[in-house]
Amino acid sequence: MFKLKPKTPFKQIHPHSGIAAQFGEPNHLLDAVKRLKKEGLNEIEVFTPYPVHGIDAILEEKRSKIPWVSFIAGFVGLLVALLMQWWMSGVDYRLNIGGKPFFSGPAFVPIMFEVAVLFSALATFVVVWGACGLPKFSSVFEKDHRALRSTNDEFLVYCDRSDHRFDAARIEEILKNSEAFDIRVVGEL
Amino acid sequence: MNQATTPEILGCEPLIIGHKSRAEITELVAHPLDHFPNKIWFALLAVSLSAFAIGLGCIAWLIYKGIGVWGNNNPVGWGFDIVNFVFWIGIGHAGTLISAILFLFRQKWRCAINRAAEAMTIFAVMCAGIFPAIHVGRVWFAWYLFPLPTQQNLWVNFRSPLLWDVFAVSTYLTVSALFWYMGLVPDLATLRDRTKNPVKKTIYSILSLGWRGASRQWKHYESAYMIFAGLSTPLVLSVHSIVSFDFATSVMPGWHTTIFPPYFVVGAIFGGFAMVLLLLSVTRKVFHFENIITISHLDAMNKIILFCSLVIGLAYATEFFIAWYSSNSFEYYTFVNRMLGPYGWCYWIMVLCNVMAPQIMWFRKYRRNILVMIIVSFLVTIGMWFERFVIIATSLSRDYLPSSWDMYYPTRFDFGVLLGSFGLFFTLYLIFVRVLPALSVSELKGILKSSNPKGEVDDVQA
Repeated sequence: MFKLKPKTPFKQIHPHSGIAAQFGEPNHLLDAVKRLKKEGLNEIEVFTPYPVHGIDAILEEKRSKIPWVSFIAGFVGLLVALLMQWWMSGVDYRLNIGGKPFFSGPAFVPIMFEVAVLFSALATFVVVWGACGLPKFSSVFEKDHRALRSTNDEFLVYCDRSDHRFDAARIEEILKNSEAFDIRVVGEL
Repeated sequence: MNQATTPEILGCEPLIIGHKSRAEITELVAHPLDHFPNKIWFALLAVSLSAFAIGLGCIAWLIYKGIGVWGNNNPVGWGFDIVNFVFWIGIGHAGTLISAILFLFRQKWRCAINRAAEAMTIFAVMCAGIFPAIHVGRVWFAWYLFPLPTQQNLWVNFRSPLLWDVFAVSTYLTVSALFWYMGLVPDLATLRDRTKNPVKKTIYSILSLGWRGASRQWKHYESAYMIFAGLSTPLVLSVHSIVSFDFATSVMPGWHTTIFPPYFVVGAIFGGFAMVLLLLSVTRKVFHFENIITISHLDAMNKIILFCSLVIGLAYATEFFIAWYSSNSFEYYTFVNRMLGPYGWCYWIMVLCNVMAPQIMWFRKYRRNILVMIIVSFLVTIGMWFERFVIIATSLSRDYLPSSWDMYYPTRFDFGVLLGSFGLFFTLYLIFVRVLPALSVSELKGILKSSNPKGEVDDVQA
């Protein structure tokens, strides 16, 4: 349930070798991905300048597990803050302040809340980049000037060569039929 | 290729005016980052830096001589230091409201203003952080605020709201900065992929962590973004609530009231929105963002200002009513003294700026008038500063014992540090708009019409 790394870690996110094509319209992109998927291809990834909704369902992406990490980290933060305050004020150095109990439960709530939020945010921040396979500074797209447009205004579809249904001619045909342009081989052969 | 046209649904105005393509948005936002700043920018930076330098000088003198250079005295142990702290923390709240609360409410117009507002949050919290650190007197002991093991074996007092503040403010700064950086990563990747300058390319590459915008990455990213919004929302409400506990948990007349947390939170959002409006109405003009931060964005923000003004007015009235209705003569005296006592002029400036001035926003014509909104925002900023001054100075200068009453007069060092904090804030903002994208490029592309495939989620946008 809490396994964050897929079986083939980040094979699609960090392309190695395969076929890439550019799209100008989200509708064409969606169309192409649907057709490629129908062809039985599984190692497909789409690179977009903003999150295009609907692609994730076609690519059969699972719901992100990050919220679980955030929840658990927040809970740990809550307990850490409670234990810290209990031990420091109630056990290690008891100090009578205005006759208040050494373990002043309600007074400890604000710090418990703050530490829970802090832990949760820090864990979310670390895990989200881990789940995205980042940081990673080398990419086959770096030398491909067309691919660089996929963080600006175009959409990029990538089919990995490792796919057991990989058939370059067939993929090219599908892409051509769904108004792709700049269909090309990326990465080393 | 991608066009934003006026949508017909519910007669909404478009979020982005004109037929902007995705590439045009990128170019528009990246333009200030690609060009050398003009003389006006350098002039403004010189003014801000000078103000900051004056502040630093005052702080240096304060550290050398001691707290005595300030106007703080025996009954008024909190003066400008805490006034400015609460003021700046409050300014920060608008950014989180825009980035987190409006996100959870699916207010798409926030996409145009969230980046700059979040940056303001971080800068304002940094300004706020100066004051508690220097007001401890011996700043080299400021680390005593944190529960660190020392040779005395003594721990911090977890029952004190002042310590809650330390945790709340430091958590707030950390979470806001992480949230802001997270939002920046896809935009930094966009900048990395379009720049020709090798130095910039290296910097953007490192900062964007190698983001490529893969669908699987977006899936995790959006999930985490939602979590951050969900965490920031209660966090921002808690921060100013805890700041208000500094006052409310004491026994001072005028402070010891249960209205304080909501009253402070609304006041914070009020003052923060005024500052956001003030800065954005200038930024949009200078960088030609008028078609993205449209007049209807400013209109919506003015409505929030008006709403907050009404709530603040109600809070002032409620405070006064309860002071009378409780039959507590000390409480009643404090409020009469606020209005008619020696600091009465501050009270009336506060009422005039916070309650009266924003009422002009009832009229659509004025909500859409840049000059009017700049004047109102300016007045609100002044009014909110005076609100904190009134709360602190009137209650402390005249408490239960008339024999211990004394007036509080700030010195030039008080004003100097206040000026310095404004200098720091504007310096950071001026640098920000030149080195980082002031608008959230990836989010703006997502709200363009037909940015999502037909029939899918978010197909049509207002």
